Amino acid sequence: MRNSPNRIVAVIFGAVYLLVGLLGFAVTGGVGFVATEGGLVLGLFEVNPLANVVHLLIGAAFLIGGIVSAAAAKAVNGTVGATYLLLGIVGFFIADTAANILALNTADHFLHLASAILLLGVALGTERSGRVATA
Amino acid sequence: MQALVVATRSWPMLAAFGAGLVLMALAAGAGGAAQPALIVLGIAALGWGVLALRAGRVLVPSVVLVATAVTLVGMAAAVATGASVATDIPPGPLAAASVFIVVMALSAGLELRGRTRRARRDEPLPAGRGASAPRPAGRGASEASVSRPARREASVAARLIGLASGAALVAALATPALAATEAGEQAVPHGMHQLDPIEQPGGHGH
Repeated sequence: MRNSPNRIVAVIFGAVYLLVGLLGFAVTGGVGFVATEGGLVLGLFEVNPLANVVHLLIGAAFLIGGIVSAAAAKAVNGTVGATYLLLGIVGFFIADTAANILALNTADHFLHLASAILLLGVALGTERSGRVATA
Repeated sequence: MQALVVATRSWPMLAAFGAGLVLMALAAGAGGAAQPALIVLGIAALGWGVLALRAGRVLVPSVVLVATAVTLVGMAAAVATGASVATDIPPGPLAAASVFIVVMALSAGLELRGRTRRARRDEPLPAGRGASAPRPAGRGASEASVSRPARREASVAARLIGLASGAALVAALATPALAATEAGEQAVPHGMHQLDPIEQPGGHGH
């Protein structure tokens, strides 16, 4: 585990996402499932119940990937990182449409972008083919 | 020193991600010939970042150096001539993109310098000059005393710290830049959705 950057990152991200998902339910009592106005986790990051469920699912995927193997962790890190980045790029071109779900001025988008770059960096830049850690 | 090199090795690729994102966001709001040019540059930066990360080194440094230099000169010319204003390209995000591009250019330049030095070092010495001199013990000798697992763990830690700090730096520069683009300004921040009054159909008393 300690020799695999992908497993370390997946387990840390998994724990954080699960925690954020659980904390989210504590601040979204009475909030509609897909309401545009939600509660604030840690006073910074706005969430609604849908976001909490997504956080829990992503957290579980990270944690399972990180526990199972380096290859699984690498796959989860790369998939989630690429999805975040692609959603960001597509979001620029749908900014003035009803499909826009971006809020680029907020703390959570800073975190999403940093997460995407870190996840993609770890998945692509470490443990390249044939050198995935098995320990 | 070695740890610093390992930690920052991925930064040019992360900078390419930042450049690609900001250039694509600028393209979304740009008009005229600037839009396709920015899209091509954005895709090129993102593609190079992915390929270079996979390869673990700065790819095609000569091409990168020329392309980044041309891009920077083009950006400077666009600002100086007022073409950027005419095509709705805000100066702030353009400046942020140029910072990312400069990082890419620097990495390409360093890679080329390293290649030149290695080529000079590997040149055969003229006969009679140092042919029999013993080579100094290299890094391998000193590193042999450190256990392999410990070295590997230190390298993993350095790479992770480098990736995390690089990602945070890129996000710290890219997020305000993205927010200042036309696409970013049109995005609705969380918590502000209810502030804009929604015009109701037939609300004018017709």
